[in-house]
Amino acid sequence: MSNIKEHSTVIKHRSHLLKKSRDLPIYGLLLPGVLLVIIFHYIPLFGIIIAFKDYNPFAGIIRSEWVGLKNFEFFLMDENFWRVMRNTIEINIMQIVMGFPIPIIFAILLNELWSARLKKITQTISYLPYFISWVVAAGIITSVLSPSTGAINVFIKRFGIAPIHFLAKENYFRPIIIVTGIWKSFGMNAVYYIAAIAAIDTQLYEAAKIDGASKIRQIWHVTLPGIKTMAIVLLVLQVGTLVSIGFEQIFLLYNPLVYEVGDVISTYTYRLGIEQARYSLTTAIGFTQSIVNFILVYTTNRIAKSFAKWSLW
Amino acid sequence: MKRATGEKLFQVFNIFLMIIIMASVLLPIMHIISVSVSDSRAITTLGVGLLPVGFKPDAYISIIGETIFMRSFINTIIITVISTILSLAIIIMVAYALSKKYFLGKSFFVYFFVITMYFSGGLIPSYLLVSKYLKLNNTYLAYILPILVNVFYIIVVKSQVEAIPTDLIEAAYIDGAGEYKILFRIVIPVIKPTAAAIGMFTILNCWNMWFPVLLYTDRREMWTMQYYLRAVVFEKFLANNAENAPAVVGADVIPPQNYQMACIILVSLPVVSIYPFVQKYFVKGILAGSVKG
Repeated sequence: MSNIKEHSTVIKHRSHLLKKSRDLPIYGLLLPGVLLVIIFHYIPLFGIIIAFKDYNPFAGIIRSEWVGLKNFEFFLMDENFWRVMRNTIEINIMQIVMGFPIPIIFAILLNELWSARLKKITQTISYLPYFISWVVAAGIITSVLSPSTGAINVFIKRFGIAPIHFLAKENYFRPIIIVTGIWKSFGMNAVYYIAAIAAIDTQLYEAAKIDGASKIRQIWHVTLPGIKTMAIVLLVLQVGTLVSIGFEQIFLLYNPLVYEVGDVISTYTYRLGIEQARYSLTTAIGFTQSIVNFILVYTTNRIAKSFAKWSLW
Repeated sequence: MKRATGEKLFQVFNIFLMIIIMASVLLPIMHIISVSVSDSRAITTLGVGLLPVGFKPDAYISIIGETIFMRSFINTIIITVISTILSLAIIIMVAYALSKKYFLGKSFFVYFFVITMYFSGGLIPSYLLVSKYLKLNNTYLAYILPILVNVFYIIVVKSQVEAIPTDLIEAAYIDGAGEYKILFRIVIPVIKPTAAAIGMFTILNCWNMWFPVLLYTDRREMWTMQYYLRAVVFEKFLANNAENAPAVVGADVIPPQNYQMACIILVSLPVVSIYPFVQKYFVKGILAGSVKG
């Protein structure tokens, strides 16, 4: 009897000790991550206050003069800002409209291939552009489109047509951005749909076949409904990035001749902030953009989640 | 199995489309390779399309023999190795800690990390911090430190650790194992595939890094491969910057066009030759992210 009592107190004592000693190593594990996040995330967040100041490099962030909303008023009155805002949204919308269906079509067609080997080869090749950097991709693009030595111009010159400097022409710039953007990402974006198609019950296809459904009708009535949710979720999430656009692609491909149609918020703030060192103004623009961005991402995430819940996964 | 004529036609049409898609990826690359090995005069006079004119690998030989190129290559490897190891270590440590059911301040720490996914200070505050306040210009730290914590990956790993049966971990406690022992003996073996996928993404990101170089350095010894390529292709540093141009340039021996294309091939070669073997990690990583995100 006393033996049991003794034993249970030992356990009690032990579990108490365990609890105390358990917490300490946890903080040890968290420490490096927490420090890095404080320094490289929270301190820059605090640095946003220079959007409300007139940043003076000699005085530093703290002692620079407060100017209220002057920086915000300035860029809201600036037509350059509205130009890059318009370009950002327009290029984004075109990218979504053109870029959304292509991975879906690619995934469906890939799934319909009879040869497993061809399927594998095509898929592997479709990933290739995803793995190369934008510097490499932009290098390939400028070289293929080069007016003097590029393959396309070499080709059209043979028909006696004058070479075209594609990247310096306003009417070609956006199509180039959109097509090359799709080129770089369609393979990896198709991964979602390939997974969704693989999850469709094959009995549905068998049943459709017995009912005499043609291939096209099978795709329409079985495949498309099977990937509908995935498509909606991805579309909604893409809309969430409406005011943010990849910096690298445009920065590497644009030039002053196409600023009117190709300059976007990220490239504009880079020039304004880093090249012209207008820190306060740039931070004000960045702050405004990140608020709009947050609202968009947050709402679209919520919508995407509710869509995902409605359907069976 | 007999297939209807309609289906056969569809299949032929489908294969034809797939060939076009493959061509859209492979033809530009063929063009680059052809130019890179073509005879210099052919490039400017005849124009090189898809097939090389002549065969001269001179550009490759001179690039590989160049000090800035080798330096950029070594820098890229150093940055990639250090960032990937440290980043994985931090992601796993934080994810494991946050997966604990109870400890003082748990929900505070979860929010502390998650908030950073939605709000960031933006380009200028980070730039001022790294360059003006921490004075990390011209050091590897400026490239590495800001990218070490990836909250998205932390959440992916955390939810995987949470899926480990609690009995398993409790049993280890009773046997007297400490947190670190549990982390290495139980948790890490379970999350190994995910960690491998995250490691691959980190390696790819580091390998393709160039923007921090643009922001934080004015020394060639600190260039990465991508930045070197950018300088060669976009800043025309070979053509316009005669005094900095590599000794081998000698203008009529190797034309810049040759050189630029050879550079593109060399910089992308490691990734392009490895990715077919590791693509499954990326596919898995992307799908895991879609489930959690």
